[in-house]
Amino acid sequence: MSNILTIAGRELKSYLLSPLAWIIIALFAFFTGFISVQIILQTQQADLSPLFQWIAVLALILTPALTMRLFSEEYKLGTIELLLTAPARDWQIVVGKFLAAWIGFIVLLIPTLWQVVILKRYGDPDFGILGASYLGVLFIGAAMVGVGMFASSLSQNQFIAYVVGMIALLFLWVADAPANAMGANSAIAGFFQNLALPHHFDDFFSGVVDSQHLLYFVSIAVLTIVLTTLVVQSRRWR
Amino acid sequence: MSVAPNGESKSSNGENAIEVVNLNKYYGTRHALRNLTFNVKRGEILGFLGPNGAGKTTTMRILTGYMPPSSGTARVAGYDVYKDSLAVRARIGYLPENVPLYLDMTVEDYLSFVARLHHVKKVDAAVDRAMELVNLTERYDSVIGKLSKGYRQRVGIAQAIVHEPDVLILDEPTIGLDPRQIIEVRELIRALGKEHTILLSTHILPEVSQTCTRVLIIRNGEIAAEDTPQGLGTRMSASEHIHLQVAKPAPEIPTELEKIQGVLAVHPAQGDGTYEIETTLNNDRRAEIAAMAVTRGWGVLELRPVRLSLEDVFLQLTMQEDETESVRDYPESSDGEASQDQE
Repeated sequence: MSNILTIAGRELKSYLLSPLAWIIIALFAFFTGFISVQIILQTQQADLSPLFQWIAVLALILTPALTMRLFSEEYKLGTIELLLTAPARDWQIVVGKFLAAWIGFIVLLIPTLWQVVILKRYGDPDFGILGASYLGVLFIGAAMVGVGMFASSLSQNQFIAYVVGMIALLFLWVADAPANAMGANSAIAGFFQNLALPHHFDDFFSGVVDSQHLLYFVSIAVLTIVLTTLVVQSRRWR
Repeated sequence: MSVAPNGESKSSNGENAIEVVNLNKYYGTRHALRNLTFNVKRGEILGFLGPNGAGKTTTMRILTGYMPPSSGTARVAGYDVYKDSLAVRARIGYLPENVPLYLDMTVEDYLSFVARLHHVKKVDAAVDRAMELVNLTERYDSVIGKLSKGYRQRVGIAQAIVHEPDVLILDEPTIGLDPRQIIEVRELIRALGKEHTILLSTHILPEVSQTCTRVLIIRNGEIAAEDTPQGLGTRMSASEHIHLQVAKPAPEIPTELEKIQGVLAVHPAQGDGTYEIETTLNNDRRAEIAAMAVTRGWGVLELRPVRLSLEDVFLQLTMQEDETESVRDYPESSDGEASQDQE
């Protein structure tokens, strides 16, 4: 455990020092604030559910930027050799980095709490729905961070890591397109439908916490952690 | 101090810090290490010498648990590098050829991170100690990315010693430094050698004679020679060489010189009047050569003994009859082979 915390701690410190992280936070805060204002002005109601759809979209764009350097930079600087010759297991390194990026993602959400404060002040928001929505976003974040981290483990070029990460997330997002095209209720169509990200976060945003959806996001996170570990390990075998 | 976890191998008797037996490494079809076998005793500074691509870094990466060998075994501090990789890594300080530095961190933060990664108990004390040893204390707050190459190298060495490892593995520790920095780093390595076992790789020869207690020359993944720096020099010079330069070169000079007793061979250089004269050991023939040159009126410009430097030994050892290699620095391959025969 101490290895994981050591790795995560360094990674978080590195976020604090990186202008990019602050830019991402600022962009995220600006867009969520802007969208909230639009929603409230249009609906005149203390209901932010459309905001979370937008948060998911923003996360799709910004999470890969948060994760792109996790491994790419280690490869480029050669510091991966330091990590792989330290008395730590490969999966501990990966989990440490995952945790740091996930915490980074959670930090992104903090400014959005301001919208909740405003709602509470001037209206009567449904905290059940809000709670479920935030829970959903946390888990979406875990899955997205996992995918982005995996992309980062594939290349020493951060830009490539970003693009690959975002394209992978896009594919997950529209994975149900073939199912919609097929239109049939076949098992294959069901599979594609179940693979799609929106299929799993919509329920959260209407206040429903379904363990099946939680399982989906956790599975993606675990799978990408395992895959990333394998990729990092493969450097030892070249 | 460290006990092998299983009784499999009796060879770890505590005297050797590193034991390598029949190590092989393949990269695809390329055979990078061929049955490499050597030991490093506790407290030794072993110089690992070889041309680029000879297998130095590969060996070090296997010893540090970065990559597994294809076959064979290696033990560090009694632990198998593959089966007990974590135990080995905990006991090794490693400076890779590309110093692994996080450029956005300060020296102190970085060293603290490495110390924590190695489960050091008193992190601050360990970091202070490491910075002091490499003379970095006044730069503790500097961002690594803004440090000069020499300072970065010191951070790299501090990183390798911060957890007080039994064994230090340094891959080309002086590469890219200016001469003054090189001297500093060598002195540092010598000082560290009093407390640590050190395996040091280099392709710079003076480094070995100045810092190491023993040298291992590696070529094409095989050990070409193993000796003390001094021993290698004398071992290779089964003959002595004299350098002669005359004003009026003549075709008969070599045959004339070979008549002098003790002269084994004379190799004229490309027609500029210089000759390389080989004589038997401890048999200084310079007086006779000078006398002959004067009586025949060749006009001596220069006459001096040639000592085989470690550099020559290295070249001879690493460039011997490599049919496969295109590198041919010797004007005639027969020359190269002639000098080998004397080994």
